[in-house]
Amino acid sequence: MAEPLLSIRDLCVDYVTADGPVRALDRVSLDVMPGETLGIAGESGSGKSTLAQALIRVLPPPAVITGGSVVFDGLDVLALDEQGLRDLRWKRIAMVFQSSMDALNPVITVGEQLTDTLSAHGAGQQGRERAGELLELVGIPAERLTAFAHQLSGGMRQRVGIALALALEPSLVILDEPTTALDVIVERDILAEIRNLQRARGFAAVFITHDIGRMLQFSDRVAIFYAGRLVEVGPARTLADEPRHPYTRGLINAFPSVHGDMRKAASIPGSPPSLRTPPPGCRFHPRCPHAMEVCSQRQPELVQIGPRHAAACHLLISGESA
Amino acid sequence: MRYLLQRLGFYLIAGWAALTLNFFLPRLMPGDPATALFARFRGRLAPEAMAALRETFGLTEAPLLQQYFTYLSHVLRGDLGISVAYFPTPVSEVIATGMLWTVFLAGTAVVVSFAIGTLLGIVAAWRRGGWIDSWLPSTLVFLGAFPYFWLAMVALYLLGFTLGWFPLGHAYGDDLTPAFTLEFMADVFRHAALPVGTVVIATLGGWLLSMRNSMITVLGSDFVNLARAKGLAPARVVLRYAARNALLPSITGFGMALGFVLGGSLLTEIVFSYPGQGYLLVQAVRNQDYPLMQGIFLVITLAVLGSNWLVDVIYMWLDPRTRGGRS
Amino acid sequence: MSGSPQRGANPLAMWLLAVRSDRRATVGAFVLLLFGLLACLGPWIASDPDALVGMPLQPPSLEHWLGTTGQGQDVFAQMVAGTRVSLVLGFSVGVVVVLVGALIGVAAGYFGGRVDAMLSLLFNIFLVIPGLPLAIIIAAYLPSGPLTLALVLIVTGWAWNARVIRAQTLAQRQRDFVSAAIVAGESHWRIITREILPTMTSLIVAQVIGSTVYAIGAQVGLEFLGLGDVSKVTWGTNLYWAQNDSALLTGAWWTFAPTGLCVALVGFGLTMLNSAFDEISNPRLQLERAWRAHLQACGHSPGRSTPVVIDRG
Ligand SMILES: Nc1ncnc2c1ncn2[C@@H]1O[C@H](COP(=O)(O)OP(=O)(O)OP(=O)(O)O)[C@@H](O)[C@H]1O
Ligand SMILES: [Mg+2]
Repeated sequence: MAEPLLSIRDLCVDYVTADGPVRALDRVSLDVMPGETLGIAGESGSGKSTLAQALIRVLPPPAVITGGSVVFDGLDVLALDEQGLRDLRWKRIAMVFQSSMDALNPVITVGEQLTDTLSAHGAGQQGRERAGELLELVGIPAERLTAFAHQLSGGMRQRVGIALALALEPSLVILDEPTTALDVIVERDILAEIRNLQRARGFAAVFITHDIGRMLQFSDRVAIFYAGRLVEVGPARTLADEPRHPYTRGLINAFPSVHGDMRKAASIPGSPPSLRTPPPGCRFHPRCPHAMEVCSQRQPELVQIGPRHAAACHLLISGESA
Repeated sequence: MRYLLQRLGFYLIAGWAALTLNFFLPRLMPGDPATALFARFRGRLAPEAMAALRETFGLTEAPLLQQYFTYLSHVLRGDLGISVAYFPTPVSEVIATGMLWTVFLAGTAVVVSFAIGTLLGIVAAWRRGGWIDSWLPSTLVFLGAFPYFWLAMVALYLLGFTLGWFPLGHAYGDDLTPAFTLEFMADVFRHAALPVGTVVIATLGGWLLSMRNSMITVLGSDFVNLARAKGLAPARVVLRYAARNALLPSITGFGMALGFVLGGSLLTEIVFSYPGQGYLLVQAVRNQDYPLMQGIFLVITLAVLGSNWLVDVIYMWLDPRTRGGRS
Repeated sequence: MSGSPQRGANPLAMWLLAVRSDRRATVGAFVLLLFGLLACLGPWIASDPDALVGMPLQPPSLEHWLGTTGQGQDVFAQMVAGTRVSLVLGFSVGVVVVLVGALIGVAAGYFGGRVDAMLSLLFNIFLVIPGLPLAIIIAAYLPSGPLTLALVLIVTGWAWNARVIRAQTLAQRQRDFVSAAIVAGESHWRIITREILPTMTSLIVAQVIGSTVYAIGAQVGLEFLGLGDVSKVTWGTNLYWAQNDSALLTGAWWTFAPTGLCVALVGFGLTMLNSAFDEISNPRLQLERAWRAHLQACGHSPGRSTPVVIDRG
């Protein structure tokens, strides 16, 4: 099997608050293969953005990475110094931020934000021309280089965010809910655009969303997060057809038709736990229809249950031993 | 452009309000305005001076509205009446000589202080928790808590009187005549050093804090995080992304603080016998020279309004969002 | 004034916390307490400030701790007497200025529309008209004394508060519980006093503090110009006489130094209180502070990128 491009092992991230640290990511392990699309889904607050930003270490205070390792293309990301991180960022891993609306500098032109990215990595000589190409790549006419963020529509701003991410032809692009604030038609256009670009350039993508239907459609593999933990990961097909974790099942059942139905994942009763005082054992057990005694006592480990398919649930463990 | 016109309209209204205030103040005094005003001067002023005074205020027998329009038309022609203290020099002439010095002093002080304070604010926010951030703001706030004119007195006492490094007052030496010579300019700067310096020191803390606080807000914003994620050099992130945006609220504050700083600078002039409006103002207060006082108020207000409009121009130039219109 | 503390958080407790947790605020509060005592106990501490007790312009000595003025009065006695007058006037003006500002600001923000347009225009005009010259032309027409001074300071000082309160009111108005109250047909007065103003307690306290600083400074400035009642002993008139008696040019630093120091200490104490409160009511700054402390406790120094603190024990 090929070497993974990105390999995350037991990653832990804490937010330091006045009442002590709160664990937002708890021993997460994931691989991303070259060229593949890994989808990450989970309810709001499950730690998706935290993971995305931790990968290139741009999580703002009060975040602290407290454990694990992140290896990208042989590079130990958690051991890099500032200069090393600057080389890693964007040239190799780029990102479309969740709030692309606010991710553009309001007082300098879109063009300058593209060119300064290029020149920061020694690609400045191509400058404006390349910046124009990038805009056209995402379907914006090159003359909008002189526009400011406030002169663009939401969809266009999102596209600029994507153009920025592709500027240096990175081998991994993290897309943190790139379409959440957009209407369905624009969303479809942009996703199709990303698909095409990915086909043409062959970068790997981490695609984050809480719209599991969209994600199953769009990704090769899917990882499901719950309250800071990875609960199930596997090929999109497999997960769509036979999800094994009760939470995944709940999420998918909330979308009877995977195609186009925009209903929210409201069918799981209850709400996610507070990270400050998570329930003991499996974090999902208070909402789980199959909860057993052991679920509130021990935390289930991720177990392999099929080819490249793993889930963390006591049901699966006891099922195996029985 | 619409933004600037809108602001201009506002300043025109504000200017008109100042004029109107100026007109009604003497008439709002308890009792009969004319009698109350002139009672103070009876015996001190020649009859023709009294007549001039009456004329200045339009305190004639005519109906109020007519007086008002007479007053407005006088002011618009630049006629602010006759000074009592410097009788029979017209107020506009008395003010004209001092205005240049005041604008020079307050203008230099406010620009220098804003520039230095803002830079220090950027540094303090950039090196959060460093020594600049932990000591400089409170030290400067402490200095800023002194009345400007008191700092001026101390500076004059220590650096001028005791050490003799700086002249003890006035805008230039008695032995020089104003001219565009190097010698004269150097002398002007030597004389301005202490007054400008004290106003700068007194106001530095305010600019530092306001820039530091808005920097800290902007440094936490998404676009700064994206700039970091893009692998830009730290200096570029801080200057082009954070500071460039954090400057905007500081500029707004700058406009609003202009009048306030000017007030302090007027008091500082008094300590240094600097021949500006502040000095004239004391003379006017001491001599109860109402036309002069009101003239100074009007001229200073107009200067502040004009400067505010300039600040708006700069703001518009810095913030594309005010330029309006989706291109 | 970035902080808009959550509804329900006890403002008094927040203030106490601010004073306790910030070293500079602790010092500030202590200094203020000292001056408060000085103001209250003044007459028992110092002698009659008007009495001619010795030769004019005597330097500090055991007999006259801070020397004598150009008229031969005791500088220390004058400083103490001035503290009382200046603090009382400064604080009362601070309170009134905020009251006026709050009244107009809330009205503008709450009623919106034409009322807002008119009131906003009014306070914006007062914001751009330079305060000191305006104060001077008003004060010059009125009989000199504390009432005139107070009036002038209020006229020139209320606009800033109105502006801040209006912005805050606009924000509050959008909130659900206010909309609900409006829908439920509660009276405007009730909504303003029961729903909107209580959420601004901390802001208003901060404004009173800020306005007191302003009022003390402006009052001293006006009196220095001779616009106060120069026969009364206050901080401002002390400085007026020092300047008038050419204290500087005779080298009598003691006639003006102590008073300026008092003004600065009080202003500094008040400002520090405000800035500590600002800091503590800003959730982001609080988090960052906890983060910084945590990292330092782990032996790391906070950098620009997300820190990695792996405890291998
Ligand atoms: N600055 C912070 N301080 C404390 N806790 C935080 C902070 N930022 C995020 N968290 C917590 O970390 C958890 C994960 O947040 P994150 O933004 O990663 O969620 P997410 O999965 O991206 O959610 P969404 O779908 O809403 O974007 C949340 O529960 C949140 O409460
Ligand atoms: Mg997110």
